[in-house]
Amino acid sequence: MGLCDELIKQDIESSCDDPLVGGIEPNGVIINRQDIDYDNVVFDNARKNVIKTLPLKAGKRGYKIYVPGSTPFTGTKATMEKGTNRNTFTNDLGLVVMNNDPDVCANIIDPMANGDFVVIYENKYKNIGKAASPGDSAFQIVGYYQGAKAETLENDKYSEDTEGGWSVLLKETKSPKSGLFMFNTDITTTRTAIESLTETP
Amino acid sequence: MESRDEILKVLEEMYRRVSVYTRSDNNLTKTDKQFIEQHFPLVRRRPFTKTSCGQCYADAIIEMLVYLRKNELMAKSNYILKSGVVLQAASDPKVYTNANLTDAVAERYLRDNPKRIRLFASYPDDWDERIKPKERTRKKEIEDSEPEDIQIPE
Repeated sequence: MGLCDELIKQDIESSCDDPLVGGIEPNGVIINRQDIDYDNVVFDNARKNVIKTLPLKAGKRGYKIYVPGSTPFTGTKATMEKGTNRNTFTNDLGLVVMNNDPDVCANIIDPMANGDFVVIYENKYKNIGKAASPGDSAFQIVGYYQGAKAETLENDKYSEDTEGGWSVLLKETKSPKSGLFMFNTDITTTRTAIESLTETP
Repeated sequence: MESRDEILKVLEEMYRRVSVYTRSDNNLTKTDKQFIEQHFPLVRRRPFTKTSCGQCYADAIIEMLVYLRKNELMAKSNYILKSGVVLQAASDPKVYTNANLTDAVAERYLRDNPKRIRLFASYPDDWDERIKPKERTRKKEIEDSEPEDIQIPE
């Protein structure tokens, strides 16, 4: 509890040595939101936009996402939304499922239509040159607060983009944070933790 | 479950076949590949990742061979971390996941802070006894023992 000061605390500038680059790597992880062990999530003590540990409930696992192409996760963005008492953020996450068979429809698309999800993706910009906690910009989380829900699930048989696969847009509305990152100690440890999310229990 | 020597024998035979040419998966049968997929997690305690590369299985054979020539099969830990959790401490640069976690490591981390038990998906029922320092455990054993169990030297 407390009074939120809502004050800017850092200069607005860009790094000359490690310039920002756009885009997302093709690999990510999707988790059913109800499988996250929220009671034991560990945030960074000093930076509340950083999650250090994101444990899943016992026996649960996440699932890998691989989005091929030159612009994976096209449509992914964060946008501020005006609110009556407080402004929030809408996170969009686009992906393509380059497959369409009975198992894909039953195990991925049908649950996606009505479920809540959390997705971790890897930015191309890692911020390795940062003086403190280098690499903390690599992994970003969508859906942690409100859950990312399906906004569009489309299977266009003549689509040039999906080649008959599924085009998916997940949307999280009213997130209180502009960006939520995952970082624990260093980028290697963080990557190990994220990889362990998809291990079969 | 096969022993270390039995797994080594099969891997040595496969290795002879894959090294005939330039370390390619082409000389491996479907059964060979199934053996590698089943035994890689057992030997290396991490999942075998199938990709479209032409020498993934050959690489896995070499990795398992190198490991087993120097080590025994890793004992399965009684402690299993929740997915997404890694263990690390300032005193130890190594990062532990379910792939390399042993009972000793898990108990060392729990000894430092027993509240970390919430990060484990499963653990032995007597985990809190196991993490007690040995001297205290011995003292408790003596306290708990029946009087007739104690032999007084003459």
